[in-house]
Amino acid sequence: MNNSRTVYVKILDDRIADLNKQISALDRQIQNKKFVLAHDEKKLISLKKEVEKIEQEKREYERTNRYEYRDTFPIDALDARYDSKEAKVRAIKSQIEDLNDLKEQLQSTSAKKRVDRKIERRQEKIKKLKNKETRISGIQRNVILSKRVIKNLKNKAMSKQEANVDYYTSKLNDTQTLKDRLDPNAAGLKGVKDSVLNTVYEIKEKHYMKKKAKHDAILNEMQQRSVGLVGANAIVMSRNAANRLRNGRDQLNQMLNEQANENTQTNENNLNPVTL
Amino acid sequence: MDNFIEVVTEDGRKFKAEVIDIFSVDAYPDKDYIIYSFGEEVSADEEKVYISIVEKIDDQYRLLEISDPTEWSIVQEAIANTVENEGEVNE
Repeated sequence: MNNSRTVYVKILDDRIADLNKQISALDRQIQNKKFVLAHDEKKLISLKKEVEKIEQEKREYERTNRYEYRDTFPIDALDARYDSKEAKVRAIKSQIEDLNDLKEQLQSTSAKKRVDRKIERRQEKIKKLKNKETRISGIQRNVILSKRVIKNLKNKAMSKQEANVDYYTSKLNDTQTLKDRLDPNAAGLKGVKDSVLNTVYEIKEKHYMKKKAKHDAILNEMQQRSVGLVGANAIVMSRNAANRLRNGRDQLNQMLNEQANENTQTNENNLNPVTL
Repeated sequence: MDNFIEVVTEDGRKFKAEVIDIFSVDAYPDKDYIIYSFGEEVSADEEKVYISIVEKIDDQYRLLEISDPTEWSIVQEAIANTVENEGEVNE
């Protein structure tokens, strides 16, 4: 009886040992899988962070390059006619140099005079070539296209909308020029007419000066703080053209300062009348 | 009055810009435009200039691109006309 009991217990023990073995093996498998899972999860997090970092870099890049200023007229698209014009000017200048060299070798006065006339004709040619159209480089094509517009503006054939594209600097100059031609003190109807026109031009002048004053105020305010640069349109302009705009503004400032001084002088005279 | 302003890009870079002019055009009476330069020479007698819309919000100024083609066309024409007029005045 004891033997069978022992045997049975042994069988049960063996069974338990076997099951424990299986449990351990399975446990180890689970632990391994957990380890792999944890490792994969870690890797997943790292990859997601990498993606976020690159997306951020992409956003930064797009932000900084958003105002890769739109070159409306890139330098490569310059008018070929301008380039050929420049080539002609260079060729003519070279001819002038050759003629000057030739002149030095000549003895007779009449021969030298003939050469001088040739030089003069070539210099005229250069002048004509250079005077053709305002050279504004990248926006020259626009100037060419709008010659008809400018012509019609002068003939007052355009609608009000298109006629009013000029900005006030040139309008102020025009108004000044028109005013200078008037003579309100003239006798008769001319005097009356010029007097009325003078008033009209003065009103217009005040309107443009008010705009000028507003823009001066804007510049002044901008200089007190940093200005955010979000976008811009770029053009290539000849230095000559850019300087005309700079000088136009400076001349306007000078003109307005002179007028302000005149007004101050007039006011002082009025406050201190001369007694006889 | 000197004509320089400081501009700041969206990523915080600062540049000094020379203001060539601030102007309006009649076609867009409620807008102001600015022409400015960073001193970039394209060649011996050409320079690159920039034109933006001036926007003011809550005492802060921003310069914006002129994205409307019609508006851009009109602004360019205004500039070209003014350059031509200034040339006639100076000659």
